[in-house]
Amino acid sequence: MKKHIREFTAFLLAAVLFFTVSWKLGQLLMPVRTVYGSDWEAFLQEEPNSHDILFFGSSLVYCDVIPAVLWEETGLTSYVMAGPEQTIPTSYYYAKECFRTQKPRLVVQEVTGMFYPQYTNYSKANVGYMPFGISRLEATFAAAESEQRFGLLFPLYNYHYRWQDVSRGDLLHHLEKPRSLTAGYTLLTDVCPPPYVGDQSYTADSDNYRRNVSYLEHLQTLCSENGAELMLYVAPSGGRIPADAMATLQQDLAEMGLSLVDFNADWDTMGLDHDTDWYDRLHFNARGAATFTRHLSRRLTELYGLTPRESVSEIWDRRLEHIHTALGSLQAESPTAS
Amino acid sequence: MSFTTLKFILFFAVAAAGRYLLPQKIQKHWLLLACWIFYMFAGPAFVLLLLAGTAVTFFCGLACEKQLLGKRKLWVALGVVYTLGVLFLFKYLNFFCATVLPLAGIRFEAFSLALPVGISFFSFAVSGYLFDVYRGKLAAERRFVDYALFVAFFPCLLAGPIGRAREFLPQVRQMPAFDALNFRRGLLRFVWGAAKKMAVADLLGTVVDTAYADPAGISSGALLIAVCCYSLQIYYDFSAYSDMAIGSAQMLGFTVLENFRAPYLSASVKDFWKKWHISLTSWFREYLYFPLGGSRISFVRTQVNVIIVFAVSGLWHGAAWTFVIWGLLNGLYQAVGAFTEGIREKLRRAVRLSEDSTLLLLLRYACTFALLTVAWIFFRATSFDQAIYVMKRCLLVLRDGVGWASVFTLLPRRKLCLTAALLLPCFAEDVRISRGKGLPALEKTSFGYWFTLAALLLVIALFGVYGEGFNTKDFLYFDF
Repeated sequence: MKKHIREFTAFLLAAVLFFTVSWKLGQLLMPVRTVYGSDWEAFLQEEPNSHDILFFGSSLVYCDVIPAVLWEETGLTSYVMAGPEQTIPTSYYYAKECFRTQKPRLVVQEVTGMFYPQYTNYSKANVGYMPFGISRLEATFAAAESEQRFGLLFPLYNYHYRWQDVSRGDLLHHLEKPRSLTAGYTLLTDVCPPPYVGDQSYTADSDNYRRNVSYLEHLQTLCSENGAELMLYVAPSGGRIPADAMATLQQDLAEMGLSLVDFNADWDTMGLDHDTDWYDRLHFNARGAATFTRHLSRRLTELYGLTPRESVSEIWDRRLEHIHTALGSLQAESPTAS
Repeated sequence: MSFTTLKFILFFAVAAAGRYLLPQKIQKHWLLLACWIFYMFAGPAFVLLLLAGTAVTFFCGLACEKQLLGKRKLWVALGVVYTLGVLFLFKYLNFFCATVLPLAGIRFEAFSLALPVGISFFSFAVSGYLFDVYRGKLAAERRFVDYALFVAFFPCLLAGPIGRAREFLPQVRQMPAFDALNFRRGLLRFVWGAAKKMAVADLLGTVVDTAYADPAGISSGALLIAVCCYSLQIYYDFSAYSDMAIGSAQMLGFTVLENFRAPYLSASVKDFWKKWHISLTSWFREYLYFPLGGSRISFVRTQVNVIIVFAVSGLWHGAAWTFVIWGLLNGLYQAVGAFTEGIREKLRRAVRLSEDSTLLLLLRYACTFALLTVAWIFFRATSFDQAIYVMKRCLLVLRDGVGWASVFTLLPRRKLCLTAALLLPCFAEDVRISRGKGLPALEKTSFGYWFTLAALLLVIALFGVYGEGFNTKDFLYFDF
């Protein structure tokens, strides 16, 4: 009996050692991610319960919404937890995980993801950086193709080859865990000509759309359980959701008791300069993002009347300074800026 | 289904569970079914070939023993001709036609015929069985299931070790009961093999493949290093496969032939061939070299026989002249070694090196490795011309220097350090084996055993060549 106990203990300890070390190595070897989508490592460095608003959605959020500008305009603290082609199920599991450390008063979801297919090209990036836990496991099975799941459950599988490339800077980043100065926003500086406006094609079939509706209901329930309001919006973009899809969506949202703000309706009134404010047909550059965020701030105040908290971390001053510096240099560099 | 895939692990778990948990009467039937299913993964149609070969040789063995129609030789000849005929058809017909027909002025266009995986291995296993029955060394097997399990035993089916019926069939009859210690030893050996394959051989393989893809694009020194890397790659690849095959067999309760005994720690090429691919070399010794006269004939004839055996061995490895040259070279090395033994002995005395000096031993190891590496160039090259080109370029290192920049492009410093670090335990294993010891008996410990397994799995997980974007390599000997 004693022998069996010793054998089992040895097996258990070796298994724990193997999984712990390989998990840590997997994290260490993952490429450092600070732009083009949520930076979970930095988000988890935020003080608990320090955000009034959390944003979810696709690149139409992390390229278009600047939390520092929102704070400047309203005094409200926010963080963008969007990801490239983030699907609605992923948004839901992101929100679920975020609620573990933050108690936002408002959750803002950009709804283009309602028309995304179940699996997009970025499942690995969207799910792979989530902290390990139930939400990540659920997101893995809900949003990642079967052949990607093993790598998401066991990150060393995906990134083991990087032992040849990992640099001292990567290691330091993982050790220091610096806070984000952009709070999830990705700064784009290029300027493209005014975008042509037309319908964007989306590939979700009706079954998948229904699945997204059901996950949106889960998100609605989650917000309600955590005392947060849920705002849904469509980001202004040259690529529009087709009218029939939009009508279906609005009808479904109405049945759920939710309303939708379509910022494309404010295309000409929000103060955009279409000659200088676009990065490409779908996304704003930093100048356009700042203009849109100011407009968004006004609408948020009108719709939800949120009041700023009494004191915030000094990091918000640094975030604002960082974005002003970036906007200043963009202004100086742009040949078309007036 | 390669041993290093998750699919194989799952397959093996099911096969092993049935092997031990089902009633003993049907355990071998279960195992046989598993073997055939395993082979179906290589190509469903090939199973028919395996079944036909099994049935024909089973019948021929019985007919030979019972002297059906009053003939013994006829039946063994029939079985061997059928087996080797099928092997010839799939493996050598193209090569034969391309070589012979143009001599008769006939234009020949190669045709495509998929080579059934493992055909060279099981053809030799069943031929050996027939020879043994003919010589009266072994009674013909009367139970088809037992015989079919010998032919199709999946751990050894794809790339050996080439089984000997006289050693394997008694184990099938007995179907040994579960032995925990044996199972643990087998598991450790399997994982050790997997680590050698995925982290050492495949890492070396990335260097070799890059160099051979464009030998003109790298310096002579880099090419020379790649050529040496191939000598190590093929050893660690094949010995890793053998470790995994032997370990799998052990977990299933069977003992199969060892295939390697630290071959690069050999003082001569002749010595090397006593330690390299033992199951094949012993097959050739027993069924070809001895019938040719062995060493009981004149010295010159003996050396000619050695060369013949090795030329055939080269051809067994692949239907190409490069393999034949590789075999001939190995035969020649041994013949020249035998002819110059006296001169070398005189030379040793002249420079006052004692027979058992470490320096002499290291020199012999180095010379043997160098000679074998030259031969491996023909084995690895895609053509005779490429082999000659690679050899010329390697010699140019004396004129052009190493070209370190090119070396570090081929083998960046971090990769170089890792390769050296990973080769150390492999080398340590070889030293242990050369001293008559195997892997440490960790299976008798608890913490040592499980922590070693965890460490090996971590090495595979971190440094193994696998996963998305990687061209995971099959074992090199699967091609033969």
